Amino acid sequence: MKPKLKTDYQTVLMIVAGIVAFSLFLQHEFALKQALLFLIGIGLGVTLLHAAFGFTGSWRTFVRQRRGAGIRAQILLLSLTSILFFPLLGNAFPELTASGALAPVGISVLVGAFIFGFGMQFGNGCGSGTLFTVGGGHVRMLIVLTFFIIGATIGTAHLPAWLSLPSLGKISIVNSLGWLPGLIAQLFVLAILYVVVKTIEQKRHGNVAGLSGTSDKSFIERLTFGPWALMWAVIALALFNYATLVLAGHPWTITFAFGLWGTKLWAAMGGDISQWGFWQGGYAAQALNSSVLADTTTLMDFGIIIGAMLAAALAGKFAPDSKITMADWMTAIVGGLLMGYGARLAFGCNIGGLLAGISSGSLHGWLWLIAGFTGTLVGVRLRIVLKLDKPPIEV
Amino acid sequence: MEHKYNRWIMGTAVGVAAIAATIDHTRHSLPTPQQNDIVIIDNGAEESPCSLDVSPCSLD
Repeated sequence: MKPKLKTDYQTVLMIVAGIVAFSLFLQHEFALKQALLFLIGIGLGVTLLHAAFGFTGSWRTFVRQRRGAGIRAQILLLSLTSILFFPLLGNAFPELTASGALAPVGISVLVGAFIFGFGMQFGNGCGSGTLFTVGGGHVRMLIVLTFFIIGATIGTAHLPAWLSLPSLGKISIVNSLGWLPGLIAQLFVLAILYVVVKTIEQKRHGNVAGLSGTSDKSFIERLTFGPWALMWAVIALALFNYATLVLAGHPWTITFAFGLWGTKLWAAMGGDISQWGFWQGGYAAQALNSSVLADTTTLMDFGIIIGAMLAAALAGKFAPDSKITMADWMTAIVGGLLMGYGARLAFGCNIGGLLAGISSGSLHGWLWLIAGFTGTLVGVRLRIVLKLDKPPIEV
Repeated sequence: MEHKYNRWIMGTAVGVAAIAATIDHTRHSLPTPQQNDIVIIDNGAEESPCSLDVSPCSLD
């Protein structure tokens, strides 16, 4: 029988006080916008941890066991976010406009997303997954995050070379078809994917796992202390992403900040970054030459980690017992490096590349999905070969 | 015992990150305070923050 988890009120109090103080600091030093984006990050962190909403585990579970609840939740998230994003990006509300995550459809995304999908099976966490598990106090994920940052930093140094490889350029479904026909076409494709995943699960198990979940706790109890149903997370993540788009002018992104932190640190240690083309112009140069707290992705990443800490303390599972083996070290290092490098090449991780890309109607997001899932297929298989997971694999 | 050990590691990591962010923040001059809380940007094909390179979208 599992021991009953108790809320860690001391930690909760400390974190809440820290959130209030940091929000006021941001409002004072910058503007209300920065404070609100940090608080959106808090909301994302709470959501991700309470619902355990991750891509890595759900993709692996589907590949190995043909259980598709997590993937179906992701398809619903993509659909709902697209419904919210497309009209805004298509200028349906001229008073509220922003820009989507558009990136070139090319070799860089193909290779980067494959590397990321492969790496996340070794890191045991994607972009969002790494942040919320670090917030949950999982020490192994600190190692993953450290090498994620190193990989992303190396990626910024190499990106210009990758971008010189063949590419079809930026292709926007919203601009090509118009936001409404584009949205209908995209929802149709997502619906087909949903049915395919559901059918595979039904065929294998004779039933389909639900997304609502059941609990004997009251709604308020579940909302505060978790666990959340996957459907709650789908709705919350879509709304927080929309709020980010309106407030920041761009969708929720994660890994740009990792490259920024690593490059700032490298430069502070005396490293030469003068030849790194990525940082020579535009937003990247501006971010590099400003306070790290002026970068919206940094604020939101901090928010996700702290929000997940809060949720973990509320659920009474902050910093769980764990021993880190040599295999844990190796997989964390390899996974972190590959994810960091891959995310940079692919214009984002599962959030900035896949979720933001597809929801913005950018074709590179779909290429990310195909290449990233293929990378996961290879990664899951290699985990068996390396005896990190038990066979049989059901691919 | 392991539980407390992990808490110390997490606390140290958060502390180091906070110090690093503070040092970086104090090394840079602060931006001009903004009046508008919501950024309204024209979404014309050539006038988006992405094409102007002033936002991290597509840089993530």
